[in-house]
Amino acid sequence: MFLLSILQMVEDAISALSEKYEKMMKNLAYSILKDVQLSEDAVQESLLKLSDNMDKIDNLDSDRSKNFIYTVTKNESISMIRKRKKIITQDVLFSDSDALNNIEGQLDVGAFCNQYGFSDRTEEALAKLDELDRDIIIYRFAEGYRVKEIAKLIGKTPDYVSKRLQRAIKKLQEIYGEDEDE
Amino acid sequence: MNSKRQAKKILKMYAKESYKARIAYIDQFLDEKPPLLLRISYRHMLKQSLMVVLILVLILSLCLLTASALGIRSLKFTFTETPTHTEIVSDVIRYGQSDTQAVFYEPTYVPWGYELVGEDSFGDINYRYDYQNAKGEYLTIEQALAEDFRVSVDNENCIIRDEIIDGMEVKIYDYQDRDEKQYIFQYENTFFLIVGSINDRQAKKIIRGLNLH
Repeated sequence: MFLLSILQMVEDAISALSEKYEKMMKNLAYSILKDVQLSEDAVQESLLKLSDNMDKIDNLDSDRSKNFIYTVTKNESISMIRKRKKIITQDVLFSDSDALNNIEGQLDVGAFCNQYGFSDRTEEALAKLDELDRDIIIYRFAEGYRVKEIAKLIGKTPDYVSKRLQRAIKKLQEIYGEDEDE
Repeated sequence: MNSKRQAKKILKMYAKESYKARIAYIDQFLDEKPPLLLRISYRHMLKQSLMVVLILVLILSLCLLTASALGIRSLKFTFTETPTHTEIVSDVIRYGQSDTQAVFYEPTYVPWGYELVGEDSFGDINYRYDYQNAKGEYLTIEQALAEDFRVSVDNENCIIRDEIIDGMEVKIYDYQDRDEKQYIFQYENTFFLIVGSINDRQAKKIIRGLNLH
């Protein structure tokens, strides 16, 4: 009886989440997959994933929850592209780089660098960040999550998260070191 | 400030701005109607929405027929696809009898790592800039007088798509069997062909760096 109550609660929570965010999720998935049917599949997969991680969503209206839902949907859509690329050998339907260059809701790196006067090399480095690195950096520096918490959010080890962060910092550090020498 | 601290500072700024951009994107989809509006007849709303959509479709069709009404500079070329290549022929054929002067634009931006390794011209009809980076990858920015111009472009194993960049129609040949893209567009009487191992973002910056407007 108790288990049924919990399952019902999760189901209600997912319904509420879906009602609130499904439109955004579909748009986001479409911006990556460029296919209505695939976008709907991606959203369904994302909702399944979110239902397994409802403990990470404290409040449906909080910015943290919004970012988490966005991240799950984005990564699920990207994962779908990569799976399909492995299946389709001729007449490739997807260009990975095009999909990743046009994800809605992303910061315009060029405009950001221009605004703060960062160099072209800094812009290149930020633009080339892997999507997972981007998510980790946002969790760490914008939301203030600790490495262990980030590891739980993305389903990796703390060591993995730590190394990715250090790599991103080191890459920028190298560029900065070179810029200062000039 | 040491470089590690500076790098962390940049990442913090980048993270915060990225986060803001995501939340702003998500918020635009959140539609909280006050209770009063929920009582409005949905049938009435549907009827009105359909009318609006019909009108918009009509307007869009008119605008598409005259692309210049939207300020979009179209390619005045005919693209004929064959199994192995695309033949691109100017819509303006004067058999060399025109007095039109070609205008060439010096690139002011190329992606980091590329150096100019050559320039080539053919009278006042064609100009080409060749760049190369340390990995041996080439980037070519070719310009030609659009009138009477014709060229063939490989179209095997590629995805062909159209984008609008800076108000110009750009045709992109994205090769799937090699790391290369070709960007084709026209400004006034100049035809442009950019070829290299670059992505759309870099291509946009190159195009903007030509300072065409």
